[in-house]
Amino acid sequence: MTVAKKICMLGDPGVGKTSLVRRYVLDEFTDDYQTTLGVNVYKYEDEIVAEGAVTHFKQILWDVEGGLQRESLLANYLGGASGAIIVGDVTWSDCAETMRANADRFRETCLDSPAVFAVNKMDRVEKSRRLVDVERLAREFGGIVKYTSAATGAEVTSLFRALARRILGVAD
Amino acid sequence: MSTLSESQLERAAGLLFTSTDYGIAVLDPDGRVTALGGALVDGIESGEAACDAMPFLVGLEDELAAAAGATGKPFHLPNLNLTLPSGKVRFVSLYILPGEEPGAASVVLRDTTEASLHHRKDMQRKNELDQTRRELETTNRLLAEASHRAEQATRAKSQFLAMMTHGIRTPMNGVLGMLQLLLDSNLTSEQHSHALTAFASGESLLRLINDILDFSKIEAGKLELEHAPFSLREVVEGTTELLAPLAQEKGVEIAAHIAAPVPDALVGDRGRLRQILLNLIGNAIKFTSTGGIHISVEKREQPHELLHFEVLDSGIGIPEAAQAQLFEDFTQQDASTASRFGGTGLGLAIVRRLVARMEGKLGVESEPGRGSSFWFDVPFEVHPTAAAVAPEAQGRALALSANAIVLRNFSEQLEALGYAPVAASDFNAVRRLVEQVPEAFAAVLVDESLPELEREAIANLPRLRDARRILACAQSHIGGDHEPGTGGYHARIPKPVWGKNLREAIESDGRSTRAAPFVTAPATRSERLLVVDDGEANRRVAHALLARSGFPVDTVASGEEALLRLERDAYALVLMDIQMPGLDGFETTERIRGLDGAAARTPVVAMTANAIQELGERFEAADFAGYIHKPVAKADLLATVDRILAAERSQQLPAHTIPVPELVAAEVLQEFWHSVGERAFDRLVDTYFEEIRVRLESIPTELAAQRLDSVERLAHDLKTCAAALGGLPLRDHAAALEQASREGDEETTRAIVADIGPLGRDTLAAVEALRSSIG
Repeated sequence: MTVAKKICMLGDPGVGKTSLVRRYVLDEFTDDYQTTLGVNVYKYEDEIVAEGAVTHFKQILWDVEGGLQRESLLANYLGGASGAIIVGDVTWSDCAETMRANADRFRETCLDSPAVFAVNKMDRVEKSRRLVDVERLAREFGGIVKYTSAATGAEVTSLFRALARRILGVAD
Repeated sequence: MSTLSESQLERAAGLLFTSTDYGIAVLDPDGRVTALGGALVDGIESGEAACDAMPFLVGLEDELAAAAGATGKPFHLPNLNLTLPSGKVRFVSLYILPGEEPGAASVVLRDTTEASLHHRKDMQRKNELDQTRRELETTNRLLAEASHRAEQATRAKSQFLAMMTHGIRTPMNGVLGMLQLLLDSNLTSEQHSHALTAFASGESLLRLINDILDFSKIEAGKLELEHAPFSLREVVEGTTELLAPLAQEKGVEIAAHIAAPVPDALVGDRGRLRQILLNLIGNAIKFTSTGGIHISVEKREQPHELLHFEVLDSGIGIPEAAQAQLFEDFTQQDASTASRFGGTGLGLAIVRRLVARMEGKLGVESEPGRGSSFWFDVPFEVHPTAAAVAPEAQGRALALSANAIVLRNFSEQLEALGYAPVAASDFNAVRRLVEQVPEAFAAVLVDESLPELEREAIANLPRLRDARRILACAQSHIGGDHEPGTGGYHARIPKPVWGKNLREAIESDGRSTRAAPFVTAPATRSERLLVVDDGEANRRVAHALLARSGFPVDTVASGEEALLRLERDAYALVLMDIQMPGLDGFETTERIRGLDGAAARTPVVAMTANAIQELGERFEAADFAGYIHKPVAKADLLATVDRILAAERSQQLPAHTIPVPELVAAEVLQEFWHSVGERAFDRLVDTYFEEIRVRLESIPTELAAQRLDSVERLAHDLKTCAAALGGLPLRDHAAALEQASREGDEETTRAIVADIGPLGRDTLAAVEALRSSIG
């Protein structure tokens, strides 16, 4: 079975949305920060195995410009998305707040679509660091938080697959 | 204006579609591609499903339907970075437009790579700035957390340090006390020298510990500032005067000036202000070898309660790179500085903390080779007393010195008294000035460091004949019996010059010109003390410590002897060992109380090696005025004695304490002892004795024979010998005699010679009495 779905990456500028997508899609990473203008659209096919069946999951990843102020444009970018990855930067003191704002914005547009949360840049802090506020926020959206590092690749694939499973409605 | 014709529009559209910047795919109602145009849709095959050919349309099914529907609603998304069907990645605008047929839509792509470039750069800049701001914020937060943690740790450490140093101090005092005793026992000269080194090392260790204690107290936030009225003038003049001999010894001039609008009566911590000034001035002296040091106090304009203190020197200066580290703890400029100038490196750190604690600011400006200026601004409350009165105008005054600091000091102090000073640096300048200034000079203040000929020439200038002529000289040159008028001057006062001395010297009628309101040797005390102790070493330590502080002291070895002494002589205080064979301290004290007359009321201080608690009730029952621990520590001993004597005095009529100048400065003799060693000391003192005796005998003979040049030479030798033994009054007399005989002033010479014989004999007797307790 093949399924094609639109997935949005949301988060404040510089939290590493593009890096996460590029790590996932191209398995590459660069420290060189390039601001995203508008949307980078990628296509990536993954195989999701659930209950013995394999689903060819064609993801159209919309890596949306962070901090976009034009609400209507943002709504147009997000429109039709089947799920979102809300990204935050673990080194920021207001990480949870920025993630909440982005999650709320996604919910306004996409109502019931699932969202999973990526606390990124874990390579810069102690591995065991956990953000209680983000976990609390995630519970309102299904409870999935991944502590990722685009730099090392840690938890990146599992992040995208977790969302895929939520979209497909299959158990983890 | 006419609209475009159909054909024109078609042509235009045709041009667009053939352009490489566009692509259009026309869909049928099933969402399959039916027609294609433009380079951006290359690679799509007719009949392909739109979402397969253009995956970015996934999720836009609603928009496609809306455009294809009855309303034909168009949809636009700008700035999409896409992989085109051809595999190329382009930056495009996506349009979903109604198609020609009902129920169909077309997808139009427009390449905006070029157009967005500018926009993208702007955003990049903005986001990079944002990123930097965030990183800074994060760093700041981390720093704040770290510094908070560090502060807490430092505070804990300082508390520990304060506790520890206090703990170290107590046994150190014991060590020093025992060493003191050891030094006073029968040691070979080698043993003595070892013990002396140990004692000196112990003392410097104690100084260091005190520094650290001070420092850690401040650090631990345990330093309480006093809030009491004090006189600013007293503090500034006191510290300057205290350190002036140290500076003058190096040939460095020192002066201070408090600007007129600065109030004198302030409220604050006078001791800590003094500590700051002592540190800064002490440093300035350490690092200055020529020129001078000037301390000034001014009022800051804003806010008005802020006082600006500056210690300016002409020393070696500090390279700019080193200035920032200067106030850091335990830092000296470099290792070579430490070895050249000594010190713990804590002084400035303490100053910085004290100034901060006083809510002030501390700074330094310096140039290597030119000197340094250390300044601090500290707010002080002004004590509500009468405001300073502006001095009355006093007329012209002349200030003369070759040294800029001294000249500044002269001018400032003259001005403070109401004089209008003119400054000159040599005789020629004075001559010119005197010719230029029409009005008469009321006062002339001359630096004694000028060549004698110049000083005399100035005194003899006709225009200055009616002026009060004052000489200012180094503190060590003061104290002799200089007659008024000597060398054409009315008075001599010490440098640095203060308003009070200067006014007295100018206003005095010419008689009381021996301006010596300062003391170089410790004052002699008139209270006779009795030390009772069966241990000889203990007696000698107590005797030496008390005698050096100017007290006449008798010692006895038993209670019985003490009672006999007290029946015969009056003592101001008795120091009583508790444990003695025969009559012990308790019994002796009890019997003292049973004596006749005033002797019964003599205060007794107990000396004991035991803790007071161990002595129990007997101690409490006994009538002691106080107690001190053995081994006797100097500070403890003197503080206790002073306290009790002061209490006694306050109960009696202001009495019998008429300070007489001390004949011999014990510390000079002590210093001499230190520098030559025990054996040489005895031999050399004997030699000096002989030298002095011979000269004392020869001088009257030579004077009788009218050989003044010979008297001058003998007086010169006498001066040197007397100085070596610490006989300062004798030295000053000899110096005066030397000068008078050189000047051919027979009358003065005769008067001094009449005095010098008895003075010399008394001095020798005093040295003899002291020499046994020296060492």
